Amino acid sequence: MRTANRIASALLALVLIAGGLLVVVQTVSALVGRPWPIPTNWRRELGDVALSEQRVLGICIAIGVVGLIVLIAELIPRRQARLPATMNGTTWWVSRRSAERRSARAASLGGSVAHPRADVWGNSQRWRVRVRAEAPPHRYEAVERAVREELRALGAPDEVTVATSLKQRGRVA
Amino acid sequence: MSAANRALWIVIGLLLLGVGVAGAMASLDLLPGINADASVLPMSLNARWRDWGFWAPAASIAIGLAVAGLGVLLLWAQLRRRGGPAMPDMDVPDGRGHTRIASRTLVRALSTDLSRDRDIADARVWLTGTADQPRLLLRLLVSPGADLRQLRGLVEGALARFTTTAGIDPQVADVEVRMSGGSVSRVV
Repeated sequence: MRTANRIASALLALVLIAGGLLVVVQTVSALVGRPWPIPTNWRRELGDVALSEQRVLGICIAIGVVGLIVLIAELIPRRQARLPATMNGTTWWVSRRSAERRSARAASLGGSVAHPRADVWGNSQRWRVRVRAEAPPHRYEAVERAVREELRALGAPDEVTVATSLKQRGRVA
Repeated sequence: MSAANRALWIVIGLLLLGVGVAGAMASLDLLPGINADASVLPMSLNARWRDWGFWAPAASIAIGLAVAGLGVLLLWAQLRRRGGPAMPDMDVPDGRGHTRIASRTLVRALSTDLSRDRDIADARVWLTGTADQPRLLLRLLVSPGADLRQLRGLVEGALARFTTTAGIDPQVADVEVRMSGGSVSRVV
């Protein structure tokens, strides 16, 4: 979303530049009696269009829908891109995806689980981790220990909450 | 930039939604004070535009230039380098004259020093600010098993060497760490 916003903003900037220059060119060309690039009859044509016309309603609904989509897309809560890891007063930022990959890897290697998935979020005081994997329930502690150890190596704060959810794969007869 | 862009698009979304809803209500004759049979661009507006004489095109040109100017500022903000412009080259007096030290050379030297560690696959360095108040931004790509507690010591060592050789003590403004590759293997 950050990249999408940046691209959208750059495109909007280009539209503003083009639109602003178009207004200037159009005004100056109209002043010298040779309107360009838009012929001057656009005012008369718009004057003949009533608000109640279907195309006006359609355009307004389309504008409203676009606005609503933009608003929803922006207001949906986003997952943080990086996690603060503070040590000796200095803060490093660890990529969230990297922390998740490392946690899943630790669960896989240290906890001996299959198909591990990890979600990590938090602030400089506390990180929270949710680990989901396929394994027998008795591996719960090993997973938690491995993930904690891994996050400590990443510079996580002392307070780390690990929520582990292990699911045993159904046996096929 | 990310928060500013988000705020900008929230405002744009609200504006578009407001215009769309108001327009649709006017079109359906649900907006008090506006007749749905009225034209999109009333003739009275055209007449008033002509009445303004010289000021109408002058205002039009001013608005056009202001909009284009806003566009340039917005584009500049999107294309701006991370952390601001690069630090200018340094001129160091050496007794017989001046030695010019290119900011790019300092960046390359620190990046090479950091990358020498086997746990750092790639080190990207941005040196911004001025020679009096330099700022450093680092983006490190580290090996999947790297211990960041040890890595901090290595980075601090590299920064100390940098300060000694370059003669500047930059403020470390941002350090971002990513892990390279390292797919999850199944052990069971």
